[in-house]
Amino acid sequence: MFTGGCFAGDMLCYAPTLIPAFTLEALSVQKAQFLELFVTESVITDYDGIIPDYWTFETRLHARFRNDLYAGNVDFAESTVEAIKIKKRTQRDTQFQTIFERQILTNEDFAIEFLDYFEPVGDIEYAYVPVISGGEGDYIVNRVHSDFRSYFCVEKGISYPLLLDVSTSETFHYDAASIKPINRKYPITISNGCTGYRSGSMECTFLPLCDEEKTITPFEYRSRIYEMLTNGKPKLLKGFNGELYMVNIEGNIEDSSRENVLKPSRPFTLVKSSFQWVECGNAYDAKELYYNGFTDVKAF
Amino acid sequence: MYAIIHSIAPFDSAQGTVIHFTWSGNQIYGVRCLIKQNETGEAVFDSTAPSMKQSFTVPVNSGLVNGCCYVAYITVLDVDGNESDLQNIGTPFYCFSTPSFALSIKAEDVIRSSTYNVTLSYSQAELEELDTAQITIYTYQKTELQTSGQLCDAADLTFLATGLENAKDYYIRATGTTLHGILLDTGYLHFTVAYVQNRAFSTLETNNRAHIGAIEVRSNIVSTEGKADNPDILYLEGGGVDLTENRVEFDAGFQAKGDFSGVFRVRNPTVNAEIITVRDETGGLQLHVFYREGSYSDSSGKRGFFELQASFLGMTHVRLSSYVPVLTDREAVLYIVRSGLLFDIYVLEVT
Repeated sequence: MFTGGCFAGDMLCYAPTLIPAFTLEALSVQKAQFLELFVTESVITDYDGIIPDYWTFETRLHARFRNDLYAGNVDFAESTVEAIKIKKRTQRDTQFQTIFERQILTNEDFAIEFLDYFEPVGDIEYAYVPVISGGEGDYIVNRVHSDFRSYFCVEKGISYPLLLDVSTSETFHYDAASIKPINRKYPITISNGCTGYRSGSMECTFLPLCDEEKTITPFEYRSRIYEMLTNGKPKLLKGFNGELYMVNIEGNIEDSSRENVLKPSRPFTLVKSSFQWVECGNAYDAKELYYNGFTDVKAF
Repeated sequence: MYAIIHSIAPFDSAQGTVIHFTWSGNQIYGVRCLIKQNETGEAVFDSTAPSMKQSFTVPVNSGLVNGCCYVAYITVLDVDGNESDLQNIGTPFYCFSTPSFALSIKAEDVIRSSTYNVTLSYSQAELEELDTAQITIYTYQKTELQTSGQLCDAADLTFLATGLENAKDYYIRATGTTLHGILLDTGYLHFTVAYVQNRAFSTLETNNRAHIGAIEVRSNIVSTEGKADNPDILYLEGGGVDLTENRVEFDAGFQAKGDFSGVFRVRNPTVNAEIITVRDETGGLQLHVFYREGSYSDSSGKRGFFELQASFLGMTHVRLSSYVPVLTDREAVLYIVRSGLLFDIYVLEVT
């Protein structure tokens, strides 16, 4: 003791023992009845005895002991969950469809972060679904409004914007024919099958933008897109008006017009590329997305 | 010439029905309805009613029994009492008790969430099976918003209604048919959605990335489950766990970096026992919280308090809470706060 205060070991002493910053990894409780536990990374200054009933980005643990020992923001754990699914529902769907699935082996597997390039413009709902004993648990659902300002040509693992000087045309194929019998005023229309698909053409100037501009020439960038367009795989073509088509590229890709821009620092040529496409499947159907190589999810 | 009977939908014999038919002969002055059992051919109902309409009302006390199949015949009488021919083959129909067909949302309910799992229940006294059902949610203008599609599994008639907006009115309606064609309809049920607006935190975070034409999907899932030394865990009524003779550790999924606050609602702690232990990933730094009781010079009698010991490299930082009444059958809220390089401990008596 020194003039009424301790020298060390206490918070208000003259030389308090300082504890370095560390990461809490385990918390154990015993030898008492515990009604609720709550741990947050924020510093509480108001000791009012009220524990928040909602999670924030700072909350780390909240156990209520309602006949279980769950202390997270979900009522499941890796010991009970076989896999988690991410499901999606667009405005055209009545049911959620699985677009992502992961087996749960460790607690870290619950963390999901990915980009969905296959979505159209409009309200879209995503659901996080735990798979427990083969069945689906409660859905955690969130809604987002998808919005973009250009066309995109998308394949599994790659997406190119069709941004500059875009010009499109579309044809809806019904393919009905008319025959004109003798002595009949009106023709007879024959419509066999249930044909109903679109085809079209698209013209666009492909130029590397922003961060890519310094590392790739317009010619290389254009060639890379041509390779993607001609690799024989189906593509998704989507636009800001709500279009979402699963297409195959047909015909040839043409550099329809060239315009040399003699920019003093770096002259370049503006090239308009055009290609034709024809619809080959339903871009909203998870099964068709799988069979055409867009996703790896087999359980729909 | 005979009347052509229209198809007869299954009906509840306790409610009766109206059988319609088409007749293209003389003016009708009377209608006779003959109903026979389908299996035995025995007539169970034979009645003539004065009428000019091409219909016959089967009354409530017709003697028909629910769960049976019958065959109906109709003849008409003209002004002179001449009766038309009886049909060679009657029109079959079923009688069934009115099925129970109800949604988990009742009219004028208030839904406290943007997502709601709607359940549809169906039952029928004579075990008439459900064929299909459909649940549809409408806007207040009765524009179709979401639909479950055709539900065929009577054991799982559920539909997850999502995206319900706060302070908005909706209608929900379920329709369906049974195997023998009973039409089911709950009608439009009005309900309101009212909930506290979503906070910034969401367990499933979705962000629109317009420049790349994609949606970022990110989970903020924290899955932590305590592991008990003794699997026979004694839970308390109303929430809580008795760990007087047990220990629970939260490890996998739990992590807190730097400053933190811990809040513990605790009751009946064992005197001089360590009730809380916190450790870092290496075990080199540990926090221990003990409960003490005693009569001290400044405690005004026997009182309890908590002692926090934070150990690091052989040095221990000690903090004592304020006094509380002895916590036998009493609850206290214990705060442990780390701010900067120091800890603090505070206890609040729950009265």
